[in-house]
Amino acid sequence: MRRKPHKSKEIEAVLRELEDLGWTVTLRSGRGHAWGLIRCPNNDPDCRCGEFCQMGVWSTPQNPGRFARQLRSRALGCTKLDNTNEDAQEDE
Amino acid sequence: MAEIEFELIFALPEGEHEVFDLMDAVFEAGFEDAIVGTGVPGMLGVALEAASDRAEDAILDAARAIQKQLPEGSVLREVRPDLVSLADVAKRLEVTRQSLQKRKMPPASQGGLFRMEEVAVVIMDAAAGKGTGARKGRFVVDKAGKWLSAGKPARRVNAGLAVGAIDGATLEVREDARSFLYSE
Repeated sequence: MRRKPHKSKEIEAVLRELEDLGWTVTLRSGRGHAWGLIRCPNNDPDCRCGEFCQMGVWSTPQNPGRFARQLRSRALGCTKLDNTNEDAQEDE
Repeated sequence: MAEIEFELIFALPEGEHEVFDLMDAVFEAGFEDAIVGTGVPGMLGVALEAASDRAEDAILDAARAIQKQLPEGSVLREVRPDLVSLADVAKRLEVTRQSLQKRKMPPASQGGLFRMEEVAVVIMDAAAGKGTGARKGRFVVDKAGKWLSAGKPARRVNAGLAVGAIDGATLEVREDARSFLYSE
């Protein structure tokens, strides 16, 4: 069964992108400011993300667009994700 | 006004802590756009942006506000970015680690990690095309500027916590340590 979508389109788009990468989304059952959680699929003890391998998602952040971008950037910023293909990138 | 982007890492007292209650605590502290990390049991990470006349106060004021809302006995353990890997920096700047390695980097500090404030100087100089014969680096310093600026105050607060100049439980700065914490 498909989970309940987030009210913010920007945040929902990021959640779906991360779900496609294997992240899991857990919704809060009670009431409060938090909407849910996202959890990284890599259970790697050497990962430097530490606490941020599991991140909270707000119900109504002040700036949903910015929050969505930050969530995405932090999730995709995991250095474990692309150690294998970083040679393919070129910047200068 | 110093505007910086940093992470506060709190150690929570022993016992079970409901993740969503911790998030509500951060919200009540006024940081409703912060990224809250709960991936390590017994620890809480809060990534946020804050501003103050002194960058160290931006960190300490935010930490005090959050700590007030956390379970009693919560202690500020660490502020990041202090020590960083080149992979961390490369991700932030949206470049490859190899491109950073082309630059003359400061000597590594602990565990092969670099002091953020020293790396920031190299990055800013490279972005400005400074240095004889240096190619201008295509680093997205505009987006990473607040993070790069947080290295120095983060290290000072961590040092203060380590030597007891800042009490991790109350976050009060010892009077005789103020000159150390806020020196130019």
